[in-house]
Amino acid sequence: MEKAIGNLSDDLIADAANLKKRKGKIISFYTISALAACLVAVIALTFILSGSKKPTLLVNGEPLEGSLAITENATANVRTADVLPLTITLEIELHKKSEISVSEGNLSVLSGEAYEDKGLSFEGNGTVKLLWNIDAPEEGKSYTLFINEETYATVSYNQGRNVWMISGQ
Amino acid sequence: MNGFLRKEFLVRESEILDLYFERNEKAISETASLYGDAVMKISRNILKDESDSEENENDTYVSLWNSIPPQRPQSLIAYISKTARNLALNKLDKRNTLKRSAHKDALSIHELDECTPSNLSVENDADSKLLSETISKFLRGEKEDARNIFIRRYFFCDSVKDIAELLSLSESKVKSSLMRTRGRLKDHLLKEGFIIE
Repeated sequence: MEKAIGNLSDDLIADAANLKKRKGKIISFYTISALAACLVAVIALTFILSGSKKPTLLVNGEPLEGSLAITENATANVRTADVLPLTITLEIELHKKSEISVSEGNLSVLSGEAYEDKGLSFEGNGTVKLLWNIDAPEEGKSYTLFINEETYATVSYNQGRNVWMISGQ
Repeated sequence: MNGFLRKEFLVRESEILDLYFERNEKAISETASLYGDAVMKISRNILKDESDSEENENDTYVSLWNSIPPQRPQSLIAYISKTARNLALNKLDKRNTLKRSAHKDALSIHELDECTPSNLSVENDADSKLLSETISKFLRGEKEDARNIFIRRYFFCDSVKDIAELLSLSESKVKSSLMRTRGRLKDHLLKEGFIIE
């Protein structure tokens, strides 16, 4: 067999001898690097876009745009007459892990199990339904809702309309 | 190899052959420049020794100088490859007699034992020629990659790793291609009347 293989046709041997190294299917280091760079860019962009998306706040199921009066009939209930506690129901949707806190009063989570109670604040991501309770609200003061220590909404008393209002930033 | 490149090689080969016919010693340096690497590769694959391989390369050029003319091979690369291979195998035989390290049994050609006809005489040139022609005919019917892998492995004695790198294939793909081609070769030889035990 050794001899027979040694006498194969010249054209077959010439073709095999002159084979050029194929660049073909093996993915080069540069291709892998380029793909990795693209992947990192996509992940970073996704992260930045989701991070830059502002949280949304619903008061009594309505999105807060500008100011909203918190009336007697609303779920977010205000009773000013005898300095009764001010109770506001808020639904907040966060697009990244954030900390929610208030300048005064107490926050409690109605739904949103993923949120961690940090004592004076809650930390989490996604949608959370909160109850903000201010025991003795004062008409001359304003009360602030913070997200990541930045003012997100303010509750204050409107003398002209004689109602408590909540305003978004 | 694409047509243009092949034509260029053929023109260069023809010019080198002319030098041999003119008995111009430049023929050897030109041959070495064009096919020196190929000759060393086949020598190293068989002899597994650098100094023996260099000696084999020189012997190959001497053999060419002595045989051209009168011969004028149609393909210089095939001719020089066959010469280098035969000389290297002869050297290996001598080395085995002297019980030196590398052994012929370690050569890839022994993977073909499973399809070696038993009704042929090893020493009979006619038998060997018939078998060569039958295998060449079989290889012409094979796909290009399978054919080249087979020839690189069993004629040039390349390692599976080298073939995989050359053709940008995985080693397992090369091994499985060789296994399947050997199977088909065995079937082909049986069909052609060879007896394989």
